Amino acid sequence: MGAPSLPGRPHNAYSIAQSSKPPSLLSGGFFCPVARRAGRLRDRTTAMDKVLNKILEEHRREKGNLILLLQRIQETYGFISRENVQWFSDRLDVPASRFFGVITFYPKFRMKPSGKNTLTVCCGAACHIKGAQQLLYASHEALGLAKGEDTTEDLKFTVEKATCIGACNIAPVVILNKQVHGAMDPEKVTKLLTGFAKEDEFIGY
Amino acid sequence: MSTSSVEIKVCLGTSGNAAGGEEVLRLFRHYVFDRAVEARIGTRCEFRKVGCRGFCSKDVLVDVIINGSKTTYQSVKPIMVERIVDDHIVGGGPIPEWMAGDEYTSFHSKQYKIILGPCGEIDPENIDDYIRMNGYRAARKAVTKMTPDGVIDVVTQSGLRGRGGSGFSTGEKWRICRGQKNDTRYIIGNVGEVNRALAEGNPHAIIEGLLIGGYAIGAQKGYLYIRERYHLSVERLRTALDQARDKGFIGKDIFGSGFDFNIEFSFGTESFICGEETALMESIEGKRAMPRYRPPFPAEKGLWGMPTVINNAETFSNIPLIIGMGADWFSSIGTAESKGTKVFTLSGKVKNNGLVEIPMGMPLREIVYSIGGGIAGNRKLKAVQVGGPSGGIIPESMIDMGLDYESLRKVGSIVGSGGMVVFDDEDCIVSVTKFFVEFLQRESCGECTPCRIGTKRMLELLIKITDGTGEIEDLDTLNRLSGIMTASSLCGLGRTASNPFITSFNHFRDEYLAHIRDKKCPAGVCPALVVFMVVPEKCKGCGLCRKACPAGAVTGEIKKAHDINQELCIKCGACYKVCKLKAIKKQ
Ligand SMILES: Cc1cc2nc3c(=O)[nH]c(=O)nc-3n(C[C@H](O)[C@H](O)[C@H](O)COP(=O)(O)O)c2cc1C
Ligand code: FES
Repeated sequence: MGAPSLPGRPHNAYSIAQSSKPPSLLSGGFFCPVARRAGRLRDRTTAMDKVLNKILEEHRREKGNLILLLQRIQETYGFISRENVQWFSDRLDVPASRFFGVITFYPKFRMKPSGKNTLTVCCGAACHIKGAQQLLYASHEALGLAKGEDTTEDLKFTVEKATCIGACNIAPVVILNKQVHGAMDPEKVTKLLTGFAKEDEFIGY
Repeated sequence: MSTSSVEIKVCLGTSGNAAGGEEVLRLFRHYVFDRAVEARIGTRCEFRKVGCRGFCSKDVLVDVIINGSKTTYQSVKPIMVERIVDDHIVGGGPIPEWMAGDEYTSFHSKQYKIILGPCGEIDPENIDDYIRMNGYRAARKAVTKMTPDGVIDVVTQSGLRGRGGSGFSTGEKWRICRGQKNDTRYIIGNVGEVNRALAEGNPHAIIEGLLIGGYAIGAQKGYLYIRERYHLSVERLRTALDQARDKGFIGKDIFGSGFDFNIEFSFGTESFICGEETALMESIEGKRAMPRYRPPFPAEKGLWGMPTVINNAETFSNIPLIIGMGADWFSSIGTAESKGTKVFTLSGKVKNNGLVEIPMGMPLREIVYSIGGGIAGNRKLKAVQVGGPSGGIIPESMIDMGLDYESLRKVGSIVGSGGMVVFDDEDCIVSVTKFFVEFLQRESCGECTPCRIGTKRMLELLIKITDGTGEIEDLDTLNRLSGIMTASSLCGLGRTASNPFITSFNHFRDEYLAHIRDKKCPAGVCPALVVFMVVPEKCKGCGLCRKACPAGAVTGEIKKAHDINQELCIKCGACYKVCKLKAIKKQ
């Protein structure tokens, strides 16, 4: 389910009513223009609140570990939206900046939706000298991604870089959805991706 | 007849999997059943998935063991399985042309596998296999028959030093932690990229080591910190941990001694800085992984402010052996100062890429030539980089040095994570250095100034040099920067970040000067300094290069000499690689 994307500091009357602490001026609500749209969003947010509340409960059990919390959000939605951060920030009385600090520190956290399939290209030392850069070009080419983009428009593929994934002995390496493919070359990557795009499974190089 | 047995072992480490190991195993099961092997020749067939045995370039490796005599096949593809079952298992005649040859033997004969030994022999997903190899016996001995101080004494006497970085004495570290007053203590196993095969092939050894360590320092809880991306390692460790828990080796009242110990996973990302011990603790606590100031050291004040011991997973794998076989046995391996063995990932331009375990002090030459089988494509060895991204670059002239903590430190390198990348004469040292600095710059957490700004400036200068706009003064600046970073950075990342530059500058000064003064890249790697040209006399006009060029820079008619348009050329080297006639030259 895609979270509604709202500008600014989103909030709504419903979640404030649920919150254990009174809304502060800073946490949106009163001066927040978005709050006025709350009524329209109510149906969607109730379902979302249910999910988030469950995550919140688990989080309280875990001594307030932000990484685990963010991980769970990402597992649920595929990425972490500003709304979600704000939601937790209000309830936990932890400034949103603390969340963003953690999100931007770890490359694994995403603030944009990711594709259904993920291709990870290892760019560690061993893979680098065996041509990881060419694999990256080839995969961008095969998926029609421009420079700087990492996800296809149809949200089918995301291409990401990794530092050494510990399989240097079969370098260069790519991982497609947990499956490691070793001793790759640009041609094999292209075939891997085009084959996968058609059949949604690995059908050989 | 009923006593005879057939055992089939299929390598299912990361690279075994990547080469189609699952499918090979499935087909073995299928054909053995299909040919009714058990009924026809009265044997019992066992199938075993085993972890990586290091010789990954020839995966999938399959052992067929008939009544104790073992035949190893290499590069087994799914289509080869049927014939192996028919000819060898049913017919009794091995297939020589598919058997692993001399390379396989020489790859293994020089190694000394005390901790990687079981990898490739036992089923990592079956605790009984490990127990059959005396697994958890050392833990039982430690917990029921030895005092915590007794355990620490043995580990100290063995001379074991940390395998993850600085090489600090493990026993000493444990003693400091044990000496603290707090009741709550933690122990952490740091599972890095080089430990991957270990976690996949013999996960119980890590868990047993952690358990013994926990007992020795008086910890109630252990953590396994592992990068999330290592899916297979995570899975195997998780299975192993569950099994150990079922057997009562982990949990309450272990071996009836009243000692309680639990192990939990903590998942990190593959950020390099997360391997640093204090950053790792911040990460377990759910914060940004920024290193802490020391002192206090983690052994005094670590995770959640409590005394914490953190060791590398390989360090922990050594512990059961030391307790089981004794400190004297362990200290008989290696050199005077560096005891035991060390695992390296041998990669780069050697013939046999793989995971190798060698006794400390083995000459680098032996690793590259005897185990690694020499340089691929009959090219010339140029240098070896040891110790991961922040290790030093060791030139060919020094290749007779032994690999141990002291010798490596002397040449400006570290044992580090145990990465080993071999370069041949087609690799440009300046560009390689730039690559490592680029990595370290990206991974610098930004907490302290010398590292944050130092790596950035260093990278800028190296880019300038490889772009052909470098000046002689830049080398002085780089040297000065290196000194400042080493002296004043907060953590190991900044302190070692200049290793690649310092060592490469010391040994390959000419190459730096060629880039700066002559505006030439001797290895023909740096795009700005190299020109690809067709040698008209040699070119037969086959058109291969024209097809290979991604930029459309190569023109020419079939059977006539081709030409490269320098304006369009992006210097990828594709034409150079495909030309069979050596009609393209680099300058
Ligand atoms: C930037 C950096 C990265 C590190 N990465 C790792 C790592 O991946 N694995 C590891 O075991 N130690 C790593 N270390 C070393 C650890 O800080 C720590 O010294 C080690 O885990 C202690 O275990 P040992 O005594 O068994 O070596 C790293 C250190 C630094 C400075
Ligand atoms: S560098 Fe790619 S797996 Fe190690």
